[in-house]
Amino acid sequence: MGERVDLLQGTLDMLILKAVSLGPLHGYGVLLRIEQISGHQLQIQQGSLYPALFRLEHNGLIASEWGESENKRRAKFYRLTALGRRQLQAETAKWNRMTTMIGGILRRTPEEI
Amino acid sequence: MKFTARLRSLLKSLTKRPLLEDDMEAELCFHIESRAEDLVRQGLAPADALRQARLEFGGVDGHKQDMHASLGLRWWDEVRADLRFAFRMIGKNRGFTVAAVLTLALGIGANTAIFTVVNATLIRPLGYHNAGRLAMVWEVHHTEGDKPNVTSPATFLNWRDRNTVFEQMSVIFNGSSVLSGGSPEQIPVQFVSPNFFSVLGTNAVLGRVFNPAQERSGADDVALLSFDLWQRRFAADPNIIGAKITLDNGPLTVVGVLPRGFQFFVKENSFGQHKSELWVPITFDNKSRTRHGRYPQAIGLLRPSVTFDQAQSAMSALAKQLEGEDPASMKGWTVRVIPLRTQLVGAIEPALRLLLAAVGLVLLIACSNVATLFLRGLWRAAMKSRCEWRWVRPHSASCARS
Repeated sequence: MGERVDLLQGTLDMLILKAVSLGPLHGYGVLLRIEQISGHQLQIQQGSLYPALFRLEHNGLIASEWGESENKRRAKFYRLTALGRRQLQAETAKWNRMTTMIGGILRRTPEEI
Repeated sequence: MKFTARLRSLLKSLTKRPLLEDDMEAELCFHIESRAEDLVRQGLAPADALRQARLEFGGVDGHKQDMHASLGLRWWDEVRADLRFAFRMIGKNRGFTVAAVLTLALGIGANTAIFTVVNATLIRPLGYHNAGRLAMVWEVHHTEGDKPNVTSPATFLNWRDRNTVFEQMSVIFNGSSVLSGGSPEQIPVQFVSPNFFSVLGTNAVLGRVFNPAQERSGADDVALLSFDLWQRRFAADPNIIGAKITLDNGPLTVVGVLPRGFQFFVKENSFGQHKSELWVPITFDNKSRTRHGRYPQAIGLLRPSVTFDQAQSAMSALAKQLEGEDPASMKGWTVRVIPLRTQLVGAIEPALRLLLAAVGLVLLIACSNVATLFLRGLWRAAMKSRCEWRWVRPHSASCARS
Protein backbone atom coordinates (compact mmCIF):
# COMPACT_ATOMS: atom_id res chain seq x y z
CA MET A 1 0.00 0.00 0.00
CA GLY A 2 1.39 3.38 -0.98
CA GLU A 3 1.08 6.64 0.88
CA ARG A 4 -2.57 7.57 1.60
CA VAL A 5 -3.76 10.91 0.25
CA ASP A 6 -6.46 13.22 1.54
CA LEU A 7 -9.47 13.88 -0.63
CA LEU A 8 -9.43 17.02 -2.76
CA GLN A 9 -11.91 19.63 -1.63
CA GLY A 10 -15.26 19.22 -3.39
CA THR A 11 -14.59 15.82 -4.90
CA LEU A 12 -16.33 13.74 -2.21
CA ASP A 13 -19.77 14.32 -3.77
CA MET A 14 -18.51 13.12 -7.13
CA LEU A 15 -16.98 9.98 -5.63
CA ILE A 16 -20.17 9.16 -3.73
CA LEU A 17 -22.22 9.52 -6.92
CA LYS A 18 -19.76 7.24 -8.73
CA ALA A 19 -19.85 4.68 -5.91
CA VAL A 20 -23.65 4.40 -5.82
CA SER A 21 -23.84 4.43 -9.62
CA LEU A 22 -22.31 0.93 -9.49
CA GLY A 23 -25.24 -0.32 -7.38
CA PRO A 24 -27.16 0.64 -4.23
CA LEU A 25 -25.03 0.95 -1.09
CA HIS A 26 -25.44 1.87 2.57
CA GLY A 27 -23.27 4.59 4.01
CA TYR A 28 -20.57 2.26 5.30
CA GLY A 29 -20.68 0.47 1.94
CA VAL A 30 -20.02 3.75 0.16
CA LEU A 31 -16.91 4.21 2.28
CA LEU A 32 -15.69 0.67 1.61
CA ARG A 33 -16.31 0.91 -2.11
CA ILE A 34 -14.47 4.19 -2.50
CA GLU A 35 -11.55 2.82 -0.51
CA GLN A 36 -11.62 -0.39 -2.55
CA ILE A 37 -11.69 1.22 -5.98
CA SER A 38 -9.03 3.75 -4.95
CA GLY A 39 -6.77 0.85 -4.04
CA HIS A 40 -6.97 1.96 -0.38
CA GLN A 41 -5.06 5.10 -1.17
CA LEU A 42 -7.78 7.59 -0.31
CA GLN A 43 -8.29 8.84 3.24
CA ILE A 44 -11.94 9.74 3.86
CA GLN A 45 -13.08 11.22 7.15
CA GLN A 46 -15.84 8.70 7.92
CA GLY A 47 -18.27 11.00 9.66
CA SER A 48 -18.15 13.60 6.92
CA LEU A 49 -19.64 11.06 4.55
CA TYR A 50 -23.12 11.44 6.06
CA PRO A 51 -23.61 15.21 5.71
CA ALA A 52 -22.55 14.72 2.08
CA LEU A 53 -25.02 11.85 1.56
CA PHE A 54 -27.80 13.92 3.11
CA ARG A 55 -26.94 16.91 0.95
CA LEU A 56 -27.00 14.80 -2.23
CA GLU A 57 -30.34 13.29 -1.27
CA HIS A 58 -31.71 16.73 -0.34
CA ASN A 59 -30.81 17.88 -3.86
CA GLY A 60 -32.48 14.86 -5.42
CA LEU A 61 -29.25 13.36 -6.82
CA ILE A 62 -29.56 10.16 -4.81
CA ALA A 63 -32.54 8.46 -3.13
CA SER A 64 -32.59 6.30 -0.03
CA GLU A 65 -34.54 3.32 1.23
CA TRP A 66 -34.24 1.20 4.36
CA GLY A 67 -33.33 -2.42 3.69
CA GLU A 68 -31.34 -5.33 5.11
CA SER A 69 -27.56 -5.39 5.08
CA GLU A 70 -25.27 -8.35 4.30
CA ASN A 71 -24.92 -8.93 8.08
CA LYS A 72 -28.75 -9.09 8.39
CA ARG A 73 -29.13 -5.65 9.96
CA ARG A 74 -31.47 -2.79 9.13
CA ALA A 75 -29.52 -0.31 6.99
CA LYS A 76 -30.27 2.67 4.81
CA PHE A 77 -29.38 2.10 1.17
CA TYR A 78 -28.65 4.85 -1.32
CA ARG A 79 -29.09 4.67 -5.09
CA LEU A 80 -28.49 7.09 -7.94
CA THR A 81 -31.49 8.99 -9.38
CA ALA A 82 -31.86 10.06 -13.01
CA LEU A 83 -30.93 13.58 -11.95
CA GLY A 84 -27.87 12.19 -10.17
CA ARG A 85 -26.82 10.20 -13.24
CA ARG A 86 -26.88 13.37 -15.36
CA GLN A 87 -24.95 15.25 -12.67
CA LEU A 88 -22.32 12.49 -12.50
CA GLN A 89 -21.84 12.58 -16.29
CA ALA A 90 -21.48 16.36 -16.24
CA GLU A 91 -19.04 16.28 -13.30
CA THR A 92 -17.00 13.51 -14.91
CA ALA A 93 -16.68 15.40 -18.18
CA LYS A 94 -15.69 18.53 -16.30
CA TRP A 95 -13.14 16.64 -14.23
CA ASN A 96 -11.55 15.06 -17.32
CA ARG A 97 -11.27 18.40 -19.07
CA MET A 98 -9.72 19.92 -15.97
CA THR A 99 -7.13 17.17 -15.36
CA THR A 100 -6.10 17.11 -19.03
CA MET A 101 -5.59 20.84 -18.93
CA ILE A 102 -3.72 20.95 -15.61
CA GLY A 103 -1.68 17.90 -16.60
CA GLY A 104 -0.77 19.57 -19.88
CA ILE A 105 0.37 22.68 -18.07
CA LEU A 106 2.47 20.73 -15.58
CA ARG A 107 4.16 18.66 -18.28
CA ARG A 108 5.50 21.66 -20.11
CA THR A 109 9.29 21.91 -20.22
CA PRO A 110 11.23 25.18 -20.58
CA GLU A 111 12.18 24.27 -24.17
CA GLU A 112 8.54 24.11 -25.21
CA ILE A 113 7.65 27.63 -24.14
CA MET B 1 -35.78 20.53 -10.81
CA LYS B 2 -33.30 20.71 -7.95
CA PHE B 3 -35.53 23.26 -6.30
CA THR B 4 -38.55 20.97 -6.28
CA ALA B 5 -36.36 18.14 -4.95
CA ARG B 6 -35.18 20.39 -2.14
CA LEU B 7 -38.68 21.53 -1.32
CA ARG B 8 -39.94 17.96 -1.24
CA SER B 9 -37.01 16.96 0.96
CA LEU B 10 -37.59 19.86 3.37
CA LEU B 11 -41.30 19.10 3.66
CA LYS B 12 -40.54 15.45 4.33
CA SER B 13 -37.98 16.37 6.99
CA LEU B 14 -40.36 18.77 8.70
CA THR B 15 -43.41 16.53 8.71
CA LYS B 16 -41.53 13.42 9.82
CA ARG B 17 -39.09 15.03 12.20
CA PRO B 18 -39.08 12.43 15.04
CA LEU B 19 -38.66 9.62 12.51
CA LEU B 20 -35.85 11.55 10.87
CA GLU B 21 -33.96 11.87 14.17
CA ASP B 22 -34.37 8.14 14.91
CA ASP B 23 -33.24 7.20 11.41
CA MET B 24 -30.20 9.43 11.68
CA GLU B 25 -29.23 7.81 14.95
CA ALA B 26 -29.79 4.32 13.53
CA GLU B 27 -27.81 5.03 10.38
CA LEU B 28 -24.76 6.31 12.25
CA CYS B 29 -24.95 3.44 14.75
CA PHE B 30 -25.03 0.96 11.90
CA HIS B 31 -21.91 2.52 10.44
CA ILE B 32 -19.93 2.48 13.67
CA GLU B 33 -20.98 -1.06 14.53
CA SER B 34 -20.21 -2.37 11.06
CA ARG B 35 -16.79 -0.77 11.25
CA ALA B 36 -16.24 -2.32 14.68
CA GLU B 37 -17.20 -5.76 13.34
CA ASP B 38 -14.64 -5.39 10.56
CA LEU B 39 -12.01 -4.40 13.09
CA VAL B 40 -12.84 -7.48 15.21
CA ARG B 41 -12.37 -9.55 12.06
CA GLN B 42 -8.94 -7.95 11.73
CA GLY B 43 -8.13 -9.19 15.21
CA LEU B 44 -9.07 -6.44 17.65
CA ALA B 45 -10.87 -7.17 20.92
CA PRO B 46 -14.59 -6.16 20.70
CA ALA B 47 -14.30 -3.31 23.25
CA ASP B 48 -11.19 -1.91 21.56
CA ALA B 49 -12.78 -2.27 18.16
CA LEU B 50 -15.82 -0.22 19.17
CA ARG B 51 -13.63 2.49 20.67
CA GLN B 52 -11.47 2.55 17.57
CA ALA B 53 -14.56 2.72 15.31
CA ARG B 54 -15.97 5.66 17.30
CA LEU B 55 -12.64 7.44 17.13
CA GLU B 56 -12.40 7.00 13.38
CA PHE B 57 -15.93 8.25 12.91
CA GLY B 58 -15.43 11.52 14.72
CA GLY B 59 -17.92 13.53 16.85
CA VAL B 60 -21.41 12.15 16.27
CA ASP B 61 -23.16 15.31 17.39
CA GLY B 62 -21.10 17.49 15.09
CA HIS B 63 -21.84 15.26 12.13
CA LYS B 64 -25.54 15.24 13.01
CA GLN B 65 -25.56 19.01 13.02
CA ASP B 66 -23.96 19.00 9.58
CA MET B 67 -26.59 16.50 8.42
CA HIS B 68 -29.33 18.81 9.64
CA ALA B 69 -27.67 21.66 7.79
CA SER B 70 -27.52 19.49 4.66
CA LEU B 71 -31.30 19.10 4.83
CA GLY B 72 -31.81 22.85 5.16
CA LEU B 73 -33.12 22.40 8.68
CA ARG B 74 -30.69 24.55 10.57
CA TRP B 75 -32.22 27.88 9.53
CA TRP B 76 -35.63 26.45 10.33
CA ASP B 77 -34.56 25.29 13.78
CA GLU B 78 -33.07 28.66 14.64
CA VAL B 79 -36.22 30.51 13.64
CA ARG B 80 -38.28 28.08 15.68
CA ALA B 81 -36.08 28.54 18.74
CA ASP B 82 -36.33 32.31 18.38
CA LEU B 83 -40.09 32.16 18.08
CA ARG B 84 -40.41 29.89 21.08
CA PHE B 85 -38.25 32.32 23.05
CA ALA B 86 -40.36 35.26 21.88
CA PHE B 87 -43.61 33.61 22.94
CA ARG B 88 -42.20 32.62 26.32
CA MET B 89 -41.21 36.24 26.91
CA ILE B 90 -44.65 37.46 25.84
CA GLY B 91 -46.24 35.11 28.36
CA LYS B 92 -43.91 36.31 31.10
CA ASN B 93 -44.40 40.04 30.61
CA ARG B 94 -48.13 40.47 30.12
CA GLY B 95 -48.31 44.19 30.95
CA PHE B 96 -45.38 45.00 28.73
CA THR B 97 -46.87 43.00 25.88
CA VAL B 98 -50.27 44.65 26.17
CA ALA B 99 -48.72 48.13 26.17
CA ALA B 100 -46.50 47.39 23.17
CA VAL B 101 -49.24 45.69 21.16
CA LEU B 102 -51.78 48.45 21.86
CA THR B 103 -49.32 51.20 20.92
CA LEU B 104 -48.39 49.52 17.67
CA ALA B 105 -52.00 48.57 16.92
CA LEU B 106 -53.10 52.19 17.20
CA GLY B 107 -50.31 53.39 14.95
CA ILE B 108 -50.83 50.69 12.35
CA GLY B 109 -54.61 50.96 12.47
CA ALA B 110 -54.60 54.72 11.86
CA ASN B 111 -52.19 54.27 8.95
CA THR B 112 -54.25 51.53 7.40
CA ALA B 113 -57.44 53.57 7.65
CA ILE B 114 -55.96 56.67 6.04
CA PHE B 115 -54.04 54.74 3.45
CA THR B 116 -57.21 52.95 2.39
CA VAL B 117 -58.80 56.30 1.62
CA VAL B 118 -55.67 57.65 -0.07
CA ASN B 119 -55.37 54.51 -2.15
CA ALA B 120 -58.99 54.66 -3.26
CA THR B 121 -58.91 58.34 -4.17
CA LEU B 122 -55.36 59.38 -5.05
CA ILE B 123 -53.50 56.28 -6.08
CA ARG B 124 -55.92 53.97 -7.85
CA PRO B 125 -56.66 54.97 -11.42
CA LEU B 126 -60.15 56.34 -12.00
CA GLY B 127 -61.19 53.19 -13.78
CA TYR B 128 -61.69 54.77 -17.19
CA HIS B 129 -59.33 53.72 -19.91
CA ASN B 130 -58.73 57.33 -20.96
CA ALA B 131 -58.64 58.70 -17.39
CA GLY B 132 -55.39 60.66 -17.83
CA ARG B 133 -56.70 62.66 -20.79
CA LEU B 134 -60.16 63.54 -19.49
CA ALA B 135 -61.14 67.03 -18.42
CA MET B 136 -64.36 68.67 -17.36
CA VAL B 137 -65.07 71.88 -19.26
CA TRP B 138 -67.08 74.55 -17.47
CA GLU B 139 -68.35 78.01 -18.20
CA VAL B 140 -67.39 80.61 -15.60
CA HIS B 141 -69.10 83.98 -15.11
CA HIS B 142 -66.81 86.79 -14.03
CA THR B 143 -69.13 87.79 -11.18
CA GLU B 144 -68.83 84.30 -9.64
CA GLY B 145 -65.07 84.25 -9.22
CA ASP B 146 -63.86 81.01 -10.75
CA LYS B 147 -66.83 78.93 -9.69
CA PRO B 148 -67.59 76.33 -12.39
CA ASN B 149 -70.95 76.59 -14.08
CA VAL B 150 -72.73 74.19 -16.42
CA THR B 151 -72.97 75.15 -20.07
CA SER B 152 -75.73 75.47 -22.65
CA PRO B 153 -76.42 73.16 -25.62
CA ALA B 154 -75.48 75.82 -28.19
CA THR B 155 -72.23 76.72 -26.45
CA PHE B 156 -71.34 73.06 -26.09
CA LEU B 157 -71.92 72.54 -29.83
CA ASN B 158 -69.65 75.51 -30.60
CA TRP B 159 -66.99 74.09 -28.31
CA ARG B 160 -67.31 70.65 -29.83
CA ASP B 161 -67.16 71.84 -33.45
CA ARG B 162 -64.60 74.63 -33.18
CA ASN B 163 -62.07 73.58 -30.52
CA THR B 164 -58.58 72.42 -31.55
CA VAL B 165 -57.52 70.60 -28.39
CA PHE B 166 -60.09 67.88 -27.72
CA GLU B 167 -60.39 64.70 -29.72
CA GLN B 168 -64.02 64.36 -28.64
CA MET B 169 -66.42 66.18 -26.35
CA SER B 170 -69.56 64.97 -24.68
CA VAL B 171 -72.33 66.36 -22.46
CA ILE B 172 -73.61 64.81 -19.27
CA PHE B 173 -76.89 65.52 -17.53
CA ASN B 174 -77.89 63.74 -14.34
CA GLY B 175 -81.66 63.42 -14.09
CA SER B 176 -84.16 60.93 -12.87
CA SER B 177 -86.97 59.09 -14.60
CA VAL B 178 -89.68 56.56 -13.88
CA LEU B 179 -89.01 53.06 -15.11
CA SER B 180 -92.35 51.31 -15.54
CA GLY B 181 -93.21 47.70 -16.22
CA GLY B 182 -93.60 45.46 -13.21
CA SER B 183 -93.54 47.80 -10.23
CA PRO B 184 -92.74 51.31 -11.47
CA GLU B 185 -89.74 52.88 -9.83
CA GLN B 186 -87.98 56.20 -10.00
CA ILE B 187 -84.33 55.75 -10.89
CA PRO B 188 -81.43 58.12 -11.46
CA VAL B 189 -80.68 58.39 -15.18
CA GLN B 190 -77.69 59.94 -16.92
CA PHE B 191 -78.32 61.57 -20.28
CA VAL B 192 -75.09 61.63 -22.27
CA SER B 193 -73.87 62.32 -25.80
CA PRO B 194 -73.77 59.12 -27.87
CA ASN B 195 -69.95 59.28 -27.92
CA PHE B 196 -69.72 59.51 -24.09
CA PHE B 197 -68.43 55.96 -23.62
CA SER B 198 -65.80 56.29 -26.31
CA VAL B 199 -64.71 59.52 -24.58
CA LEU B 200 -64.20 57.57 -21.34
CA GLY B 201 -62.86 54.49 -23.10
CA THR B 202 -65.43 52.20 -21.50
CA ASN B 203 -67.03 49.20 -23.16
CA ALA B 204 -70.20 47.25 -22.42
CA VAL B 205 -69.89 43.81 -20.82
CA LEU B 206 -73.01 42.71 -22.65
CA GLY B 207 -74.24 44.13 -25.95
CA ARG B 208 -72.65 47.42 -27.01
CA VAL B 209 -72.29 51.02 -25.84
CA PHE B 210 -73.95 53.84 -27.80
CA ASN B 211 -72.91 54.14 -31.40
CA PRO B 212 -72.57 57.83 -32.35
CA ALA B 213 -73.56 57.09 -35.96
CA GLN B 214 -76.74 55.25 -35.00
CA GLU B 215 -77.86 57.36 -32.12
CA ARG B 216 -78.44 60.51 -34.13
CA SER B 217 -81.42 62.61 -33.35
CA GLY B 218 -84.54 60.58 -33.93
CA ALA B 219 -82.84 57.22 -33.44
CA ASP B 220 -81.90 57.77 -29.82
CA ASP B 221 -84.57 55.58 -28.20
CA VAL B 222 -81.97 53.23 -26.75
CA ALA B 223 -80.65 52.65 -23.23
CA LEU B 224 -77.71 51.13 -21.36
CA LEU B 225 -78.17 49.42 -17.99
CA SER B 226 -75.84 49.52 -15.02
CA PHE B 227 -74.64 46.09 -13.96
CA ASP B 228 -76.58 46.40 -10.69
CA LEU B 229 -79.84 47.43 -12.36
CA TRP B 230 -79.48 44.54 -14.79
CA GLN B 231 -79.09 42.12 -11.90
CA ARG B 232 -81.69 43.63 -9.60
CA ARG B 233 -84.45 44.55 -11.99
CA PHE B 234 -83.91 42.10 -14.84
CA ALA B 235 -82.55 39.09 -12.93
CA ALA B 236 -79.30 39.25 -14.93
CA ASP B 237 -81.22 38.08 -18.00
CA PRO B 238 -78.58 37.25 -20.66
CA ASN B 239 -81.18 37.92 -23.40
CA ILE B 240 -81.82 41.46 -22.21
CA ILE B 241 -80.22 42.97 -25.33
CA GLY B 242 -82.99 44.14 -27.67
CA ALA B 243 -85.63 44.10 -24.94
CA LYS B 244 -88.02 47.06 -24.69
CA ILE B 245 -88.27 49.04 -21.46
CA THR B 246 -90.53 51.97 -20.73
CA LEU B 247 -88.99 55.12 -19.30
CA ASP B 248 -91.28 58.08 -18.58
CA ASN B 249 -93.87 56.65 -21.02
CA GLY B 250 -91.37 56.37 -23.85
CA PRO B 251 -90.23 52.96 -25.09
CA LEU B 252 -86.47 52.36 -25.16
CA THR B 253 -84.49 49.43 -26.50
CA VAL B 254 -81.75 48.02 -24.25
CA VAL B 255 -78.53 47.86 -26.26
CA GLY B 256 -76.04 46.96 -23.57
CA VAL B 257 -75.02 46.41 -19.94
CA LEU B 258 -72.09 48.34 -18.46
CA PRO B 259 -69.28 46.76 -16.41
CA ARG B 260 -69.87 45.99 -12.74
CA GLY B 261 -69.07 49.04 -10.66
CA PHE B 262 -68.96 51.44 -13.61
CA GLN B 263 -69.93 54.95 -12.51
CA PHE B 264 -69.51 58.48 -13.65
CA PHE B 265 -70.68 61.16 -11.30
CA VAL B 266 -69.39 64.71 -11.00
CA LYS B 267 -71.21 66.32 -8.11
CA GLU B 268 -70.31 69.87 -9.08
CA ASN B 269 -73.42 71.57 -10.53
CA SER B 270 -75.19 68.26 -10.93
CA PHE B 271 -78.96 68.40 -11.17
CA GLY B 272 -79.46 64.84 -9.94
CA GLN B 273 -77.69 63.85 -6.72
CA HIS B 274 -77.55 60.11 -7.22
CA LYS B 275 -75.27 57.82 -9.16
CA SER B 276 -76.93 56.75 -12.36
CA GLU B 277 -78.42 53.32 -13.01
CA LEU B 278 -79.48 53.91 -16.60
CA TRP B 279 -77.92 55.78 -19.53
CA VAL B 280 -79.84 57.37 -22.38
CA PRO B 281 -78.25 59.21 -25.32
CA ILE B 282 -78.98 62.88 -25.70
CA THR B 283 -78.53 64.83 -28.91
CA PHE B 284 -79.49 68.44 -29.51
CA ASP B 285 -81.84 69.29 -32.32
CA ASN B 286 -82.17 72.80 -33.70
CA LYS B 287 -84.86 73.65 -31.16
CA SER B 288 -82.60 72.95 -28.23
CA ARG B 289 -79.62 74.81 -29.65
CA THR B 290 -80.09 77.70 -27.31
CA ARG B 291 -77.48 79.67 -25.41
CA HIS B 292 -79.89 80.38 -22.60
CA GLY B 293 -80.72 77.74 -20.10
CA ARG B 294 -77.38 76.33 -19.04
CA TYR B 295 -77.81 72.76 -17.74
CA PRO B 296 -75.46 70.08 -19.11
CA GLN B 297 -71.99 69.35 -17.79
CA ALA B 298 -69.31 68.92 -20.48
CA ILE B 299 -66.35 66.56 -20.65
CA GLY B 300 -63.56 66.43 -23.21
CA LEU B 301 -60.95 63.87 -24.23
CA LEU B 302 -57.64 65.65 -24.90
CA ARG B 303 -55.83 64.99 -28.15
CA PRO B 304 -52.83 62.73 -27.37
CA SER B 305 -50.08 65.38 -27.24
CA VAL B 306 -52.10 68.25 -25.75
CA THR B 307 -51.64 69.26 -22.10
CA PHE B 308 -54.37 70.50 -19.79
CA ASP B 309 -52.78 73.97 -19.77
CA GLN B 310 -52.77 74.14 -23.57
CA ALA B 311 -56.41 73.06 -23.55
CA GLN B 312 -57.22 75.83 -21.07
CA SER B 313 -55.65 78.58 -23.17
CA ALA B 314 -57.19 77.33 -26.42
CA MET B 315 -60.63 77.13 -24.84
CA SER B 316 -60.23 80.60 -23.29
CA ALA B 317 -59.45 81.98 -26.74
CA LEU B 318 -62.52 80.23 -28.14
CA ALA B 319 -64.68 81.71 -25.36
CA LYS B 320 -63.44 85.19 -26.29
CA GLN B 321 -64.57 84.59 -29.88
CA LEU B 322 -67.99 83.35 -28.75
CA GLU B 323 -68.36 86.37 -26.48
CA GLY B 324 -67.72 88.64 -29.46
CA GLU B 325 -70.18 86.76 -31.68
CA ASP B 326 -73.06 86.71 -29.21
CA PRO B 327 -72.55 89.31 -26.49
CA ALA B 328 -76.20 89.03 -25.39
CA SER B 329 -75.72 85.48 -24.04
CA MET B 330 -71.99 85.24 -23.65
CA LYS B 331 -70.89 88.55 -22.11
CA GLY B 332 -68.74 87.95 -19.07
CA TRP B 333 -68.53 84.17 -19.60
CA THR B 334 -65.17 82.45 -19.82
CA VAL B 335 -64.11 78.79 -19.79
CA ARG B 336 -62.41 76.64 -17.17
CA VAL B 337 -60.80 73.28 -17.96
CA ILE B 338 -60.37 71.02 -14.92
CA PRO B 339 -58.63 67.62 -15.20
CA LEU B 340 -61.15 64.94 -14.24
CA ARG B 341 -58.95 63.59 -11.45
CA THR B 342 -58.61 67.04 -9.93
CA GLN B 343 -62.36 67.49 -10.31
CA LEU B 344 -63.15 64.28 -8.46
CA VAL B 345 -60.42 64.45 -5.81
CA GLY B 346 -59.99 68.21 -5.92
CA ALA B 347 -60.36 69.90 -2.61
CA ILE B 348 -59.58 66.94 -0.37
CA GLU B 349 -56.20 66.05 -1.89
CA PRO B 350 -53.99 68.37 0.23
CA ALA B 351 -55.94 67.43 3.35
CA LEU B 352 -55.46 63.73 2.62
CA ARG B 353 -51.74 64.16 2.08
CA LEU B 354 -51.43 66.02 5.35
CA LEU B 355 -53.44 63.35 7.15
CA LEU B 356 -51.25 60.61 5.70
CA ALA B 357 -48.12 62.40 6.86
CA ALA B 358 -49.68 62.88 10.29
CA VAL B 359 -50.56 59.23 10.82
CA GLY B 360 -47.12 58.29 9.52
CA LEU B 361 -45.63 60.37 12.31
CA VAL B 362 -48.02 58.75 14.80
CA LEU B 363 -46.68 55.34 13.81
CA LEU B 364 -43.12 56.61 14.16
CA ILE B 365 -43.92 57.86 17.66
CA ALA B 366 -45.56 54.54 18.48
CA CYS B 367 -42.40 52.72 17.37
CA SER B 368 -40.16 54.94 19.47
CA ASN B 369 -42.45 54.42 22.47
CA VAL B 370 -42.20 50.66 22.13
CA ALA B 371 -38.44 50.95 21.73
CA THR B 372 -38.34 52.95 24.98
CA LEU B 373 -40.38 50.26 26.70
CA PHE B 374 -37.88 47.66 25.55
CA LEU B 375 -34.92 49.69 26.80
CA ARG B 376 -36.54 50.15 30.19
CA GLY B 377 -37.28 46.43 30.38
CA LEU B 378 -33.67 45.62 29.55
CA TRP B 379 -32.38 48.15 32.04
CA ARG B 380 -34.50 46.71 34.82
CA ALA B 381 -33.38 43.19 33.98
CA ALA B 382 -29.77 44.33 33.96
CA MET B 383 -30.14 45.91 37.37
CA LYS B 384 -31.81 42.82 38.79
CA SER B 385 -29.15 40.32 37.77
CA ARG B 386 -26.10 41.92 36.36
CA CYS B 387 -24.26 38.66 35.85
CA GLU B 388 -27.08 36.86 34.08
CA TRP B 389 -27.68 39.55 31.56
CA ARG B 390 -26.86 37.89 28.30
CA TRP B 391 -27.39 39.06 24.79
CA VAL B 392 -26.81 35.64 23.32
CA ARG B 393 -29.57 33.94 21.43
CA PRO B 394 -31.01 31.04 23.42
CA HIS B 395 -29.81 27.87 21.75
CA SER B 396 -32.09 25.08 20.72
CA ALA B 397 -31.78 21.82 22.61
CA SER B 398 -29.76 20.10 19.88
CA CYS B 399 -27.14 22.84 19.83
CA ALA B 400 -26.80 22.81 23.57
CA ARG B 401 -25.76 19.18 23.63
CA SER B 402 -22.71 19.54 21.43
